[in-house]
Amino acid sequence: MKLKIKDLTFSYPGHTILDGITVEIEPSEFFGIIGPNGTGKTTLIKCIDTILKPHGGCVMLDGMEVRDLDKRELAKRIGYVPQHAPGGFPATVFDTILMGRRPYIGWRVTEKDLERVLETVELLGIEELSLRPFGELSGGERQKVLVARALCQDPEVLLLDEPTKGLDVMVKREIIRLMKEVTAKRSMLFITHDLGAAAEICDNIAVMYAGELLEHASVDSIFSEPLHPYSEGLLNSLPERGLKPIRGISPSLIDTPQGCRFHPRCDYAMEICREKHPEMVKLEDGRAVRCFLYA
Amino acid sequence: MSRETLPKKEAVKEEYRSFIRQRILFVLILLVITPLLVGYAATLGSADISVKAAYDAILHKFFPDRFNPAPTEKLDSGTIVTILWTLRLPRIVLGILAGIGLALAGAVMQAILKNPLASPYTLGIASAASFGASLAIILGVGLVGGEHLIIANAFIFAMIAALLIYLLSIKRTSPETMVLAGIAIMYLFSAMTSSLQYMGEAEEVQEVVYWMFGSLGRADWQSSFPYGNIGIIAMVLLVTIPYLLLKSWDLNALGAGDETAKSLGVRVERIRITCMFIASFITASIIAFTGTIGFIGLVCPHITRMMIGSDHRFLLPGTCLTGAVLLLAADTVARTIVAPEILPVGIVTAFMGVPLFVYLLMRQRGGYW
Repeated sequence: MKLKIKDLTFSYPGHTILDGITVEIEPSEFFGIIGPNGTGKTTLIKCIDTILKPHGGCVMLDGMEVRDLDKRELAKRIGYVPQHAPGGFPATVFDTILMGRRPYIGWRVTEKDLERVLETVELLGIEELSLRPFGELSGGERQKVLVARALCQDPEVLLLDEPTKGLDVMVKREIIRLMKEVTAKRSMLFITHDLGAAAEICDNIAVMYAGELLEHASVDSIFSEPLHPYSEGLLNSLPERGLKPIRGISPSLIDTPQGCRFHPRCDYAMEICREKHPEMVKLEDGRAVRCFLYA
Repeated sequence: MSRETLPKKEAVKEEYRSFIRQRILFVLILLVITPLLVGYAATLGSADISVKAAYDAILHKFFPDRFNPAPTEKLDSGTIVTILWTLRLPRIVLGILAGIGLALAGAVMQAILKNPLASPYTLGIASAASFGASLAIILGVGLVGGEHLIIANAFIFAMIAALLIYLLSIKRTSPETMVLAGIAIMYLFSAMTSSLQYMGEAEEVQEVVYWMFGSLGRADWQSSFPYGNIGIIAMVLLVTIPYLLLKSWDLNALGAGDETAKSLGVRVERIRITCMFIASFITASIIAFTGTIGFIGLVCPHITRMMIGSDHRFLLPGTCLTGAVLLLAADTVARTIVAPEILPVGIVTAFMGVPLFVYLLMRQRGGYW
């Protein structure tokens, strides 16, 4: 299933969170969006799944606008794994995962629903957890259960909101391994600030900064030859590349800089960067970048 | 699927099935206890009627040829049937219906507001009903009602409270907004009731206080439509219970958070508003006739949840029956403990329910909610 996001904008009174996001995700593609905290990544995912109502642009699923789809129908096609699972009623892991079948269930749970839950439980290797209260699980275990719930929806597109956040290295590796295994044949949109995780899972990556996309390329090309100065800075801040941080801090979305939003932190900033907002430029090799260095 | 993993999967399936069976069993046990309790409650009163005679008298109405209570020294069988059907059963049936409705409304409120302290009264429904009743008792004024002024006032003001909460949270139907709006409304109506009491005569204030205790003594069923207050409450429950049961999955999904519920295809705002109105409507319909019977709506959902978990497919029917049993048992105690005096049922429900509730709460592993 092809997911097409075109010119998506979302704002709260006084400040824009998403500013004209355009991305296309091909069937079976693993697409990553990386960027710092507070840059609008979660908002983007929520707009795609109609949890939030975007103020402009559209999200198309195989040519159909998602906002026109019946809610239940949409839930059969898009699965969402949230960053946190809020505490609430005491529910067992099995019941939590079974909830993923809600788009298919009238009232009675059929044998097929049960089978689907059991298959997913088995796939993720969480049989031992199945009758434990969800609230008693560790962070990594919870994440697996949330992924299992979304998989039970049998979605064609899976939206993952920082599934490895706050997990130790071993658990993170385990989650990444599972992601690769269990999401086969589905499209996946994976948002994270963890470059390593994105590199391992994704086919293509977009770099997001202050509510807009700065660069869009395949994982290999972005890791071997980042074009945007921010992408370069991100890679240089990895431990294996010398842990060199980007100077300054990410701008608040309430007060984004004039011109290029990255220019106050950019070592290559030119006069034009302070004055004019750069457009996304498509390069010959299929990559796209929002920077006057390539205009 | 590999052969090694098959037994593990089957084991999970079997464990889950047994879990479901336990839930169903809990509901079935309550379904058996309720008629037993009805039979026992029907024997209690100033006239001495045996359990068998009570059941015979109840069944006589449906199968007059097969069941006929044996006459005693003082009472002939016709009198026993009359005592049962005109004096004791209306009160018992009202107790069951009110227990069902108030507990159900509590479970629904806790689900949509995601708050363990929510009950039919959280949103100021009871305060508003009390104000409506006080207005009728002390000032004798109301919007409609005539001879049923107190009932009509209590109902109308309870629904006004529901409407106010709706209006206050129309832009943001978050549970927090609704709870806070409800608490504000509760204080407003309480203050207005207090003002009326301050102005009222001693006898009127006494009547208001008595109304606010809650009682099943006003139970009646008439032979013609709408069959008295019991008929009205029964009709309200017959319409609302199936709807709420059908929404069990939506209520389950709400427990996982609004965003998750939305991603699972639930229209969160719509379900929250609809269920809030239905729960308020059920509550208003009951307390207009009984006065404010507290506690049932708050505690029965918790008792049931601690016994069988929070899957609303089982929790809702389970809570209904827990409410019916607890209110009927409380009323039976209220009628007999200082007989011939009858204690207000609201007092006894708390005395009986609190020990059970605290016991279950202490027995819970880790954090319960």
